[in-house]
Amino acid sequence: MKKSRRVFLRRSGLALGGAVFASSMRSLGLVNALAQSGKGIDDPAPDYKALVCIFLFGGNDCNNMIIPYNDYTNYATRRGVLAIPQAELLQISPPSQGSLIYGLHPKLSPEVAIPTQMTGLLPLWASGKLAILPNVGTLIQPLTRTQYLAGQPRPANLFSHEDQADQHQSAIVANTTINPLTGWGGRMAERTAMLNGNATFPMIVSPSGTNVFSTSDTIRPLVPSSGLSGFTNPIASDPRYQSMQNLLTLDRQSKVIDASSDTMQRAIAHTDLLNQALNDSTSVTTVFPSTGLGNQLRQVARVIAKRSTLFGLQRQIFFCSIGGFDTHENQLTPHANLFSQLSQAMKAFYEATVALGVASSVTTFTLSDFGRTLVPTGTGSDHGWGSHQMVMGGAVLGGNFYGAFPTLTPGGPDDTGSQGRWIPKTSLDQYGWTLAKWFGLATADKGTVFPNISNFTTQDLGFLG
Amino acid sequence: MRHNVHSCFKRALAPALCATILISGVAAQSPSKGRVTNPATPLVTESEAVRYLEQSTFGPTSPLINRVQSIGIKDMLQTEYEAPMSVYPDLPVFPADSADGCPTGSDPNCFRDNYTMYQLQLRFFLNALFGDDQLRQRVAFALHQIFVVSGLAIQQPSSMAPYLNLFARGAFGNYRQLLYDVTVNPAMGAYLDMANNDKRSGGASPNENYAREILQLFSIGLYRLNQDGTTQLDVSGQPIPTYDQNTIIGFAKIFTGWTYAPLPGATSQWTNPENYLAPMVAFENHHDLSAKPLLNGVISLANQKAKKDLVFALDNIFNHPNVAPFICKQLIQNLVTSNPTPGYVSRISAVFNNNGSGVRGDLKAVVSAILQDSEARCDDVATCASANDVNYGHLRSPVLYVTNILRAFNATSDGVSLSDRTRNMGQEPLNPPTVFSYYRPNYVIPGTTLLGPEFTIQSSAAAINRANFANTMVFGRIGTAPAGTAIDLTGLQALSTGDGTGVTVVNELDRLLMHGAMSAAMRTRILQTITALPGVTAADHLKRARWALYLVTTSSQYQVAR
Repeated sequence: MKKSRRVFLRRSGLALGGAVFASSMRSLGLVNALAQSGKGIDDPAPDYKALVCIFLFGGNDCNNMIIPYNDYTNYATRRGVLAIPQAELLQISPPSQGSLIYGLHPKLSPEVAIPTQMTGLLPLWASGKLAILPNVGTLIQPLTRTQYLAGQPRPANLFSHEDQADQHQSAIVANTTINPLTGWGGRMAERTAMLNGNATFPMIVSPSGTNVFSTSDTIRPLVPSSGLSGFTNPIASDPRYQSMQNLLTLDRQSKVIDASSDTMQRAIAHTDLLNQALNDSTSVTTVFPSTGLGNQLRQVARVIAKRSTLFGLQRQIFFCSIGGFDTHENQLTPHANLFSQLSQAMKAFYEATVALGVASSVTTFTLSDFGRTLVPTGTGSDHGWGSHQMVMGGAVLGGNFYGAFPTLTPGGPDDTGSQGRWIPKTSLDQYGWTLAKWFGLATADKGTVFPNISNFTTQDLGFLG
Repeated sequence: MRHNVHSCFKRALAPALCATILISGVAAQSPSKGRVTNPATPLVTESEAVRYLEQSTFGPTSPLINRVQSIGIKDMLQTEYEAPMSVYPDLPVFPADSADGCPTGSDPNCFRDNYTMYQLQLRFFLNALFGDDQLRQRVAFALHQIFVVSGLAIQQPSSMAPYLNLFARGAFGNYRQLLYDVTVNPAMGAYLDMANNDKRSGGASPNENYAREILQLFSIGLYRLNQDGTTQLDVSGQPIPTYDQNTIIGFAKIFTGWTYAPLPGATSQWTNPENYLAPMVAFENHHDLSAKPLLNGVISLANQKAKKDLVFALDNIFNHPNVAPFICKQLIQNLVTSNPTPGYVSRISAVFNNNGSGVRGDLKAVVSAILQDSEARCDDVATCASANDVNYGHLRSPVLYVTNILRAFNATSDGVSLSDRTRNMGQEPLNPPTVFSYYRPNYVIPGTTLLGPEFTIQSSAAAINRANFANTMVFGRIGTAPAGTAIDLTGLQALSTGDGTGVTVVNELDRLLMHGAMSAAMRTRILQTITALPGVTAADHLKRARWALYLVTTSSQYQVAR
């Protein structure tokens, strides 16, 4: 206890300087928080909430993620070489879809086929902790095929990776070459900052590097690293460290130098404290798969474990990612492997939040660049538009679909053309606002964070209790 | 020495041994053509010589600074064009399945050496640190960041080396030739799926991957551009797309009918097994023969053979007015400054469109013009762009950050671990995460209206890892001597010994690392810090030199090359 307090004081003093330091002490309620956590167990924080974004980079082929079970023949005919055998599907019956049965890709719960595998998402669907949003994507306003073909407004640069990944992270779907990009996570963090009092530790931690989602004019994600090396201890007394810090304050009339120094100052200010959470291997006992995403989500769990004792935060946002979804060729096996990694890491993370007593305070959601064409191109699929997304957590009203499943007909009512690129029926803005509202974003800030939300009648999709 | 290095790679000796050979060569390195020290009447100020070398090499060195001062920038460019080319070596082809290539009991480094970019990354850093063809290598690296094939997807280094050599060869060649060479290169064919892209029937579309990226990333971009690089707007103020989905499908059909070249001695068939050592070959009966919509309303003729269709389509791209501003602005950003004025882009676009002899796409002329432009040079401090635009310059990319520090202090290096270091800063050479490269040319620094491509990857972790690299090099080394990487601080130490005020050391760092642009406040702070240290023994002066160097290299004032 004493040790951790002393360390924290030292870090804060170093990072922030005397004047800011005093106010941060008050605002964090630090003394109280530290005094109350002497049992070595983090007290559950009843008002705590966290959002965890898992971005599937490359454009996830949603058509093989959720598959119509009743109308399987149509699916199999359209998908050809990409069709998943019906017998392998994990059957689910979402109440919102009447009596229709759907099938999850078998690797969304690898333990069903191979019991020795780490468990995936089917148990969470069954226990109502996992919801699915079919055919959600970037939209300016509701759009039918007829309207699309007639040239009604649609997001800029559909089917382009970088643009669509940016738009999913920014919720800014107009042309992105003119205005600086800010993320809806970053803008949300700016406008919910008061929920963390005057805490100085960043609301957003990204184990997945820099990203648009977590950035705004003033918000940057904290990305984990080992911390500065080479200084004497205590570092604040090292004149070389003091001098380096001082140089970071100079010559900032150049905005380029300013941006570089700002990044470094934020890094120095917060990295050591973050590492106290990340290096504590006892705070999270849940076994995570040793995959990239598994490691990222374990880091998230370790940060959440220290939300009050180290950071004094009531709201946190995390950005994680898994790449490899751009499956143009030879799709089947790699895509299945990605689903194994995704589902096992998500399940482990959910179990960790249960163990930490925060399952209902943490909501995890997926995003991706876009869906992919229903009609294969060779042995893979090409860039599409609308895709299916998953939401997981104790507060999720799961075991259900929210939104309309697309009609799997090339050239049909949901297609932009003839290859099965789905026009979204649910917009990213509706999806994001439902998450943000739960998180505590005020209605007054809705339009700033989700610029097109007012174009949609139903704004809260209702998947969070 | 160069021959030794090449042959040692060919003979697949241990990289460390090769590097030792190389280093011994470098230690003796001197500009072979007329080394001049302290030229009596320099043609270029020292500060300009350093700036020019920051823009055109992987880092200024004292011999090169003297050289530029004595022969001038124009002759220096000529020297660079004529310098022998450093190439990536031919490496042995291994079985596609690493379990066959590196079975149980193999050398523990078998996988690393033959199924990852490791050997090529060593070579990349050795070329960057010690190669005499600095400008060629610098431009080649810039071009690879535009025409991305990632080693993360192309596993074997033997498959990647021929692709990388296209850029060393093409750095001073013609863009149109490079576009063709890239298109039919099997590494690109595998990366973006043009290889084995078959014509389709029944309304299905062929693979669109290469079609989309060649337009979006390798040539024209998404929006119509003015020649000065600014975006054209329609009457309602919206940017004007350069193509639509129909164009993509048209180009996707153009790129059908190509497979890998047959392996030596094998009969060519649709499809051939992977072969990365020769350009792809066409099979006419797998090429889509329909007329195809291309750019600017052009439609390709029906029933053209695969290669004729390809040449026609690449000419269609090449002649699009966007190519000049799209490519030239990125090269300016990579070499000189993130926010070139429209006038600068416009002047270089004009050279791309016509090199003065009626040739379009002459990259040598483009690079020459970029580096000699009035906005790149600062012959008169009173009027030059770098002195008058406070936001001039760019954040050194991780690779440039590392190589500039090493080259400035006469480093010895075997290249080992350097790519790990830059990866932790967001840039692992030859392994960009996606076809969108390491960072994006149109990235806006948050909270500003300034472009800052390198800030795309400048996270809190990257910033810390840069400082920790400086710490390693200034106070220690990578690896155990004689292997690894180390810089030589004896010169800096001597300057400290000779001047107890510390001024000479700081002046030297200002000269060599910051082309004399260090602010008075920065200078004062560093002097205060080092003169507070004891200054009696040799160890004292080494410490003063080290502290000063650490403070400069970790500063943003250094990391932003202006």
